[in-house]
Amino acid sequence: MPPLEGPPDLCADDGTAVDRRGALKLFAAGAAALASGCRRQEEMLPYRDMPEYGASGDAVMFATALPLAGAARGVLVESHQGRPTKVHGNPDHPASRGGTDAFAEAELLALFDPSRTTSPVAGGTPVTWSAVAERLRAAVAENGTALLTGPVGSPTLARQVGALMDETPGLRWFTHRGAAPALEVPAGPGPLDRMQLWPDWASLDAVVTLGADPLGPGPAQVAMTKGWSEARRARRDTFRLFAFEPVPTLTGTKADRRTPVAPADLSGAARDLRDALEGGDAPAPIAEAARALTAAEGRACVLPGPDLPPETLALIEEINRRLAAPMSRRLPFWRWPALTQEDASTLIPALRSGEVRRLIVLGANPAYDMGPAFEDAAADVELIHFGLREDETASRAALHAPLHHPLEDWSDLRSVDGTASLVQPLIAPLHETRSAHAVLEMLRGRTGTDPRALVQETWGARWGTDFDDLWDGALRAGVIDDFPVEDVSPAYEPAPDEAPQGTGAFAHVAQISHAVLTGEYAPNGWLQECPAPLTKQVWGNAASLSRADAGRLGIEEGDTVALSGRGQTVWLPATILPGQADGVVGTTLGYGRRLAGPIGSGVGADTAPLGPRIDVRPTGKSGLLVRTQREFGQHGREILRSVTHAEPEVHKAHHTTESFYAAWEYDSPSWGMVIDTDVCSGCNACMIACQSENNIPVVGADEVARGRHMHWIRIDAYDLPEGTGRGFQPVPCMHCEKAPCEPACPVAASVHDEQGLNAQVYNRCVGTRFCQANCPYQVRRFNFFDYADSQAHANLGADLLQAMRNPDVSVRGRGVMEKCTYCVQRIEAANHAASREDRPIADGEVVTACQSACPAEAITFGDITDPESAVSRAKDSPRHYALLEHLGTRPRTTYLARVTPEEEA
Amino acid sequence: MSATDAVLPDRAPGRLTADVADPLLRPRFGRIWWACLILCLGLSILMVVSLVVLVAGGVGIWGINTSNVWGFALVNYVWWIGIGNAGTLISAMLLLTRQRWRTSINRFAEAMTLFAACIAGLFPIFHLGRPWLFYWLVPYPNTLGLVPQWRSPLVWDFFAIASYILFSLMFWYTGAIPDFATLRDRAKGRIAQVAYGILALGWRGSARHWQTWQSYYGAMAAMGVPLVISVHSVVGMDYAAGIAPGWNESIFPPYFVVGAMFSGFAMVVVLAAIFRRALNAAHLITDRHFDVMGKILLTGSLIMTVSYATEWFYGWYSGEHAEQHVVATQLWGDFWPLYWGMLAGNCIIPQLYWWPFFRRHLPSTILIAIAINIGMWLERVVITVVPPARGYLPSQWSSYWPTLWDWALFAGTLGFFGLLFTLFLRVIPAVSIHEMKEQVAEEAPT
Repeated sequence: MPPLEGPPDLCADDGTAVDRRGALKLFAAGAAALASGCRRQEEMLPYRDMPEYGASGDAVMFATALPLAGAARGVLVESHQGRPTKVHGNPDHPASRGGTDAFAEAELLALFDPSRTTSPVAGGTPVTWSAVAERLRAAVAENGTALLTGPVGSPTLARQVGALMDETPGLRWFTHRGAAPALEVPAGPGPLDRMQLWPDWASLDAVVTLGADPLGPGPAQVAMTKGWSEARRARRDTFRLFAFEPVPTLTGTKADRRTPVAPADLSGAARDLRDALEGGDAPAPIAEAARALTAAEGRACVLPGPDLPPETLALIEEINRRLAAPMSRRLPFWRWPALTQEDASTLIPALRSGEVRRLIVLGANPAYDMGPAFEDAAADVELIHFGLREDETASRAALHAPLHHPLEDWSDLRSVDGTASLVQPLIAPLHETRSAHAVLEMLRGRTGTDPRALVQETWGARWGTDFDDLWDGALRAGVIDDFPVEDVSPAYEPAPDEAPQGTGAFAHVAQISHAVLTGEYAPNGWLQECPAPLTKQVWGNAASLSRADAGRLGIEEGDTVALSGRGQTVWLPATILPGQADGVVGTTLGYGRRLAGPIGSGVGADTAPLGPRIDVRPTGKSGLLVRTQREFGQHGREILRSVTHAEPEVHKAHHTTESFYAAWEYDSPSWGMVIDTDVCSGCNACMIACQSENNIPVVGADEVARGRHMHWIRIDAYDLPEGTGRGFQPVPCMHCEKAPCEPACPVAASVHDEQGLNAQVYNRCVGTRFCQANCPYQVRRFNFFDYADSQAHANLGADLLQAMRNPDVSVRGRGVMEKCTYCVQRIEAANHAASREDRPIADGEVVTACQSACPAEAITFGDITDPESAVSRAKDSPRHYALLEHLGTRPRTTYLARVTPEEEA
Repeated sequence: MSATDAVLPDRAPGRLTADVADPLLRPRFGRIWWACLILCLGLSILMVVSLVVLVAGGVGIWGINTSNVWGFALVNYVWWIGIGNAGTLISAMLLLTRQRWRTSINRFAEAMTLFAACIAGLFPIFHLGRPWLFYWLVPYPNTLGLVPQWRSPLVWDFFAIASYILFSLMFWYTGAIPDFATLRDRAKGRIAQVAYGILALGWRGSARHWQTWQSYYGAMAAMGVPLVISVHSVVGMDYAAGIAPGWNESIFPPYFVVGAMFSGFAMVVVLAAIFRRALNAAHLITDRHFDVMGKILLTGSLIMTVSYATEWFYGWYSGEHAEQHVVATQLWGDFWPLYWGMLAGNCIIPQLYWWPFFRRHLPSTILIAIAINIGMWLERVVITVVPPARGYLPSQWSSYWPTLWDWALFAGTLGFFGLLFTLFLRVIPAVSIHEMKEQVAEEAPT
């Protein structure tokens, strides 16, 4: 048993030494507290127009914000009797406007993750929080102590850090940044001189990207995808996006014209572009882009990638000024000019020189993120780590103490565009954890502080007498209206002659991962099993190569290759990506975590230490590439279809098979869905939203390798006829009018309902799988094992996770078929509400999980018997087509074709 | 009538009875019999173990996946039910067409049918995700008022198999009643006398018994022929009613029936050879029998070849890319060794039967029959595994690879079949004594 260092810390952080009698009293008090459910008493305010909640079992929505790489995304969280069960986008938040991303949806699993640290640990021994507070007081009192945080987007936390630094001369504060938001680029010579470009998509008609990926994963993804998709939808005839990039990105995939360019040639492309704008000669794709920019002057911009040299950034800045580009240049959300902030890149020299002998790490994982260099430099440094789990840094730390998950915490947070939001807890802390705000107060020698009071203090100072109204309003809306956004003017200096980047034969482009970001989401099973948009790889990363390079090296799809750079070698499966520049290897960051719980440890390989130049060598082995899709060619079949501006109509099938059975008859409503493949950016938000809404289990890499996966909506990727990349086609259940699965089932478990849904009766299913064999769209998913519970992957069957499940959706057992239901639980909720009020269901009242998540608003859902509904109007589009129409299944889920420029047709 | 001379043994009726019945009543069984029994028992235990593991763990222990939903379960089901087709065919159709040579082989061919059909019947039950609920396919009275979903080929299948197994059992048992009486009368031990006595149902061999029996047996045979056709037609419809390219073909029912008879006859050839060797009964099953069966197999092979050619033609003629792709994948894709193995076993090797030497030379004819059985098994693999692996949407193409448990169950069912057959040879007259005697008496020069 550990020595009793303080009283059992049940409700408060302030404790003094106790004698035997005191201990007994505390035991008694503890027992009483257990019986009465001792929790912090707090008031939580609902989103707007809420009924009295708690008793009816109806879901309640709370507005809050979730951080991604430190930046907020505004969300509404659905709570069932005190348990958060689903994350939705907040339509009132300017940086999400109702959309979400895969990471926000997956935060729910992160909250209930059974592998989170449950109490503070020092040297393998549990300790109390009062012991932690003492340790912190002592650390701050000594010289050579530094604080390392992630990007701080919280005004309260920044205020606390400022106060701490004022009180503690000599304390240094370093900010470590994992995934920078898209379009955050250097604005000057220093590592902290950066700016956030914020294009006004509504005023744009021509956009050129030079290595930038605004639609790619990161904290700006939702806002950028919203903006881009609205521009694309509203001005499809005039809006043009040109992408110049080394490795295919989501932005490049959605570009009207995409040109592969090696990283080293991006600067040249920028110069060519300037020359072309000035009337000079340039290669054809650049000249075309320049013509579009010129034609749309005042409504055009050039978006630079983050790794371009200062000269090129200055050049692009000049082009944008000349074009009068409608975009703002903002101070990044994590910059606090009033405070002495240092970049983590200066931490390693400080550690080496011995200036920093003690490092307090708050919500960062430098042992993984900064790689072996940190491990080396921090060998003799005392580490105190605060984070969600026992990660690489925690395992080296003298003291590791757990923080609240954002869904358990009070805070405030800024998003990439600068908007501030309040963060409110959805559930009392599950474990013996503390808020980061409370930890900072401990550093200031105060214990027992209430994070809500700290946040209120920050905003109280700003709002003064209006505080009460504004606070309640901000909690309800999830947005604080009046937080100022500062603009920056970039001032570039020519870069000093940089050290050679290495001698490798290939340029190495390491991108932010769609699944694990830069590693922090590795413990999340939903995300690990979420396929990479372009390669459909799950549970790992890969090295992408151009077809020519692969051919030259004798590498085939799935072969294991050795990548070496900066003296390090990692082994990854190779994948051949159409549209990748020659001489470039693409990888994703965030894999190869050593300590990321039972889910994320040892998945993939960490490619960050390899540097920008690497060598590639085939190893003659294969077998690591686990994917949910192996074939990307359309084989001449009309699956992911395209139209052009000149010929906007999809050709319909010449003949369709007539059904043997009589037609169904409906009383309104009868549901249908249209998916616009032209704006689907492949971001995967719908997949994780569906997983969360419908209690879909994780099956693990071995099962996926066998060809089993459970996603009710998948996103197929197909090579485009243009040969420049891949396009996306989300595939949920088609809810066919003449569903081939229905006559196949011997026990009537697959049935057509009176609203046109193809329903699956789980209790009736005996598991013949004939319906699955007979589904030409292959959207049915079978529980080959008891995935949800006893044979769940890793610890995803843990008791704690029962609390996360949507109580409106059955958890399916072994041997049962399941599939997309069009979120029938939401349809039924709307039916009940409408029948209570004796009215028809309004158009747009039922929103499926995939539809509500989609930041591109590519999914339309509604009553197809109502000719005025949005979905019926979408079905009237000339781009409208049914997948595999000639089979005569008459699907209710249908598609809108991609639009490609005329030249390609 | 040289054929008659060759297919009926030149022995007195009394000797015939002794030839068939005595080995059953002999107390000591040979070493080879024991070796076979132990081997088959071991494999049968493997079957039981795989079934227990299957029910405990779930069908996930097999190699099936989201695209290839059935795998070996359906392959083996179709293969076994195919083998189970020939016995009734020989008994019923050959009886009705008065093919005298059938009397030597019909009894064990019927036993083969029964055993194979029972084993085949295991697969549709155990391939279910929740096998303990298989009875939901039965229209039994229940509180929910639910009946099976009649449009499903699986329901037709359930009725087809159930009626076929019941029919086969009755036909086989009632056909053997006079022989059970013979054994009852010849048995020395009390237990054997009582056991065979019960099985003989009081048969006394009176003229009236014989008259009733003959009309009953003829009527059963007439009922049996459509059942033979229906059971495998319905198996074919399990696929043909599906929408998958490569399955949705109206040729499947007749093509499955012929394939079943083809594989069943090949199995009869193999078993006849074993039986002839085991009971030392070259005079009961003569070279002439193998000659006749060789001709039937040759006919079957030609029909199968035409069927394959028809599939290729319609694959091309459909104009449907997915259909064409499935045919091309079967011929040239990842699975080409299976397909070409099938063509070798079913189409090419049986052509040797054009030569009388191969029909009468026992080792050759057995090897060819085994090649046909392997070819027909591969055919079922190719049919079950390729079309779902190459469906309409290329994004979902994925291949099926059997796991250890897939193979264990297949090997186990082979062992169980062997076990049943080994026991059968020692308990029940393997040749219909009374029919044989009747034939001999009719043909005997008076």
